[in-house]
Amino acid sequence: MGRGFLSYAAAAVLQAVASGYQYGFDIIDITGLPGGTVYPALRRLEGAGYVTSKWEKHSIAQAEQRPPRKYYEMTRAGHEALAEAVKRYRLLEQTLLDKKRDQKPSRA
Amino acid sequence: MPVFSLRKQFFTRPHLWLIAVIGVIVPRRLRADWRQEWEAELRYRERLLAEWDRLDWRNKIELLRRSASAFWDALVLQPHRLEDEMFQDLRYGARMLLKHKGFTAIAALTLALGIGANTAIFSVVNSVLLNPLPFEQSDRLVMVWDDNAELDRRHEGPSPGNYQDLRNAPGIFAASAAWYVTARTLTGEQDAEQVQCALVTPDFFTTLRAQAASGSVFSAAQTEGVAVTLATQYVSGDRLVVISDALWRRRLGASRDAVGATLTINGTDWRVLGIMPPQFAMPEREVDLWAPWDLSRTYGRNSAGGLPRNNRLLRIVARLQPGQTPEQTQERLTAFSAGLAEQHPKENKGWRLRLTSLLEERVGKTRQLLLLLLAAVALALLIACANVAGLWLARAAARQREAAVRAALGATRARLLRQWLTESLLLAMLGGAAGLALARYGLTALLALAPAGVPRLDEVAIDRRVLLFTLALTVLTGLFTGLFPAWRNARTELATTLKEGGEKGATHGASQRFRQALVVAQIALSMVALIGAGLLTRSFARLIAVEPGFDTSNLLTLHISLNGPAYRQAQTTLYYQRLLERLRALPGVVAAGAVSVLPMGVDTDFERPYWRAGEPEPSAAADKVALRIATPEYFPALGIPLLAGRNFTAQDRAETPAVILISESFASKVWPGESAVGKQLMLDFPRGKFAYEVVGVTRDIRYFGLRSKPQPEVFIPHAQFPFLPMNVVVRTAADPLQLTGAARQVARDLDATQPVGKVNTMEQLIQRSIAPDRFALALLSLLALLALLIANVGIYSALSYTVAARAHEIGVRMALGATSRDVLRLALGQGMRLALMGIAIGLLSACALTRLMRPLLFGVSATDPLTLSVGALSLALMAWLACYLPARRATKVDPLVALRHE
Repeated sequence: MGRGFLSYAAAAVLQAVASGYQYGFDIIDITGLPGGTVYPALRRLEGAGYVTSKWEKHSIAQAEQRPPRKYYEMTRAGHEALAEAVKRYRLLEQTLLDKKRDQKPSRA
Repeated sequence: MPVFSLRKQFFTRPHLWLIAVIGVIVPRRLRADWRQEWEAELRYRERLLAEWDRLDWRNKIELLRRSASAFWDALVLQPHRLEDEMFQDLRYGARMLLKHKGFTAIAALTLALGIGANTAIFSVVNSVLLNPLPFEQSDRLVMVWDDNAELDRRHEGPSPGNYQDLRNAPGIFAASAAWYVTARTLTGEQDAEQVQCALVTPDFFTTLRAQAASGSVFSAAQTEGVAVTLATQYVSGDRLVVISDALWRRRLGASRDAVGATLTINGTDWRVLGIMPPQFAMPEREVDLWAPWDLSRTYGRNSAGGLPRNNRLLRIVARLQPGQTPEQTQERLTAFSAGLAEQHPKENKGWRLRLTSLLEERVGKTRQLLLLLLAAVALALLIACANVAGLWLARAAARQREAAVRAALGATRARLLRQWLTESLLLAMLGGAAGLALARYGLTALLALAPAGVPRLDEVAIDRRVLLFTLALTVLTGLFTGLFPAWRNARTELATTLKEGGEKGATHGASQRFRQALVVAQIALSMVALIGAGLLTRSFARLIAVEPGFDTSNLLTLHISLNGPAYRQAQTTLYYQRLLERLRALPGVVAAGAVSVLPMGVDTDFERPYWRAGEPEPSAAADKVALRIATPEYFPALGIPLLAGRNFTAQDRAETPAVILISESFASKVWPGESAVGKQLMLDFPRGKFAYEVVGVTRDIRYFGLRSKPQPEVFIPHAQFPFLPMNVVVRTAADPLQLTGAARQVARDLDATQPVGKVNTMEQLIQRSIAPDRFALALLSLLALLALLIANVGIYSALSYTVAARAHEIGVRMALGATSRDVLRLALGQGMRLALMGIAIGLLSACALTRLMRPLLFGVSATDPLTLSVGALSLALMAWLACYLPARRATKVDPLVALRHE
């Protein structure tokens, strides 16, 4: 996986991880994206080195009688990539808003 | 996850069940992690919801929905499959094959030869024997024959009278048609040309359900009342004709306006009604014209009491009734034959109608040849497989250390087996692909060499069934060659192999025995191939050594078929007299004569009843004799000696008493122990039944090819029976082909409207008659040679390998005082023991298998002792050579080097 642009979904997932939503289902809940999008995005981000994954401690899982969950953490590269992506999407948002304002009412 | 808990989960926690199920499609490498991640999340969420007392049905559905989204996640993971073991194995296998280029090239080439030969021959078998004929529901088409067991006459065509009854009998066939093939002359702006014409009854095309490519075929209404006689022509009604694609291109320049155009056939104009598609080849590929034929008009004129029943000349094709099997139809046909015999005992007593499939009729004769070839190439492939398996075994031994290391690193036995099989399958695929390419080009060569008599060769192609066959063969080959080496390799004993460094394991008992078994199998198989080829060689030598009964060198033959209103009896006699005179006047011509049926030719001749004068006429089913019409010069021109009496002379004319010459076997059959000359023989010939005086006896000759036995024959002088189509034979002083042009010119000068048909030398005719034998011999010899070569390479490499593996032992022996003679004897003895075992097994199997070749053999028994012993000896000699080289190498082992290795 190259270090090209992050897709919007990947950026959203990365943002969620950065905001402390570290488990897959939490990310699904907070971003509102489906599992079939979030998990592949997480794997891509991990492949690109923006996040790392760890298994939670066995003792915790054992206490709750379930397998250990996997959680994701930001890396330094991940923070940089997120900052860049946020800047880019802000700009995009701005352009779109400008465009909307420029449009004449008759054509809207 | 065990099955029982899965089933329970389906009811209690379907979301977890879904994850377990979807996990199956996740690439194996990632599966455990993937499952755990999803399961942990789901169970955590489940617990959370339970704690909040909110695990109601709505939340349960939400959980289910969420677990279902895992399916999309699993789909995204599919490309990672490429990293799965299978692809790892493939990549590794490809790398290993590339690394050992020499091994790969030799093994792939060996397999390519085997698979290619099988593909080529199978594609012929497929097109000729397996593919249905190009007619709608062609498996429902049959031919009808008339057999008489008492008279030992089989496969004769039903008579017109019997056929008409059969056609009118309700419920036997859905449709049927009759035909008769005869020669016709085309004249017009181009040169006169003789073509084959099928006279067909009106239902011919509708029975076959054949359509014209342009124009149309006959309908029954169009052809009603069209009558054509066989020898000459008589036409009434509309003159309509359907022509072949080949004739349309050759004669009408593939013109679009050909339908409705006029062709001059035997001097009268016929309108082209339709043109058949190129693949239409009924009844034969050679037929160019289909002319309508009304049996009742043709025969009704000649005989008062309906259609004749004693001339069995028709060919009948019929379509089975819907829902009726051939067996059921045969039962009805048998009952019908019994009725015919009862109603017309004179003509039909003892005769029984029999049906055969149309496909069988068209290709049946080539079945044996093709199946023999298929068996031969299968044999070659088996040898190739044994050879490659031997090569693999050697590779397996050399790579035992690698296998041990892999096993030590945690590869399971199944994994090792799979990896190895992947490699051997990959190699087989390589061989298969190359084989397919070989087959593609080999097929072209094969078809170019094939004898003219094999039908349907123009349909041969590599189609889907052939490709499937090749694929199946390739996979089988891969499994067969790789299975034992793979198994051996996977069973590597870790500790020993790693300790010993892999070399010792090479002579391991089981693989050693397997390698020896492979050598024995290869020798045995090539023994069978060699004996097959040897038998055909002997048979062919016998065949060409057959004395045909006349001098075959320097003979030119021309077929001339007079027609048209100008040629009545006297004119016909005159024409041939003049033609022969002018031919004799040509420089270089020694003699010239004419005969109605040429030896080694393809003309059909008359067979008529005969009896001694003064005795009662026998029944219609009695013995018959072949009648030929000849000019006096025919016998000296061919060099057929007269054994008694005199030849025909110029004094035997139309108005003098009827005379005949008879062949020696016929003479001794009719008048055993006495001289036939001067006797009177009664013949039932079209002009009536009367006595002919035997004036001479000729030597027997083999009329229908070298395989046939001399046949009783009677010659009638041409002057007394002016026959229109004749074969002129010209004996020349030098190469007869040089006279072709001059001879044609003579005929053209005499009458340009009469075409000169086939011009051949007698040698060409003889070659053509033995072409199928020559073809089978050439192919089988080639295959046997190939088999022999592969097998000997196999012995050589197997023995070289053993010698190399036993270098240490040999070194010890030599250090202990063994001479190089002893070592040579040891190594040679080991190789030759295997070779002799193979030869013995091969001889036994050959005796069992060559019995199937019997129909193809001539004058040689299938277990000919000379062939068997020569084959065994030569194979032993070749095996000895293959053993000798590695054995020599064994004597060169330096004991010091061999021992230092320890």
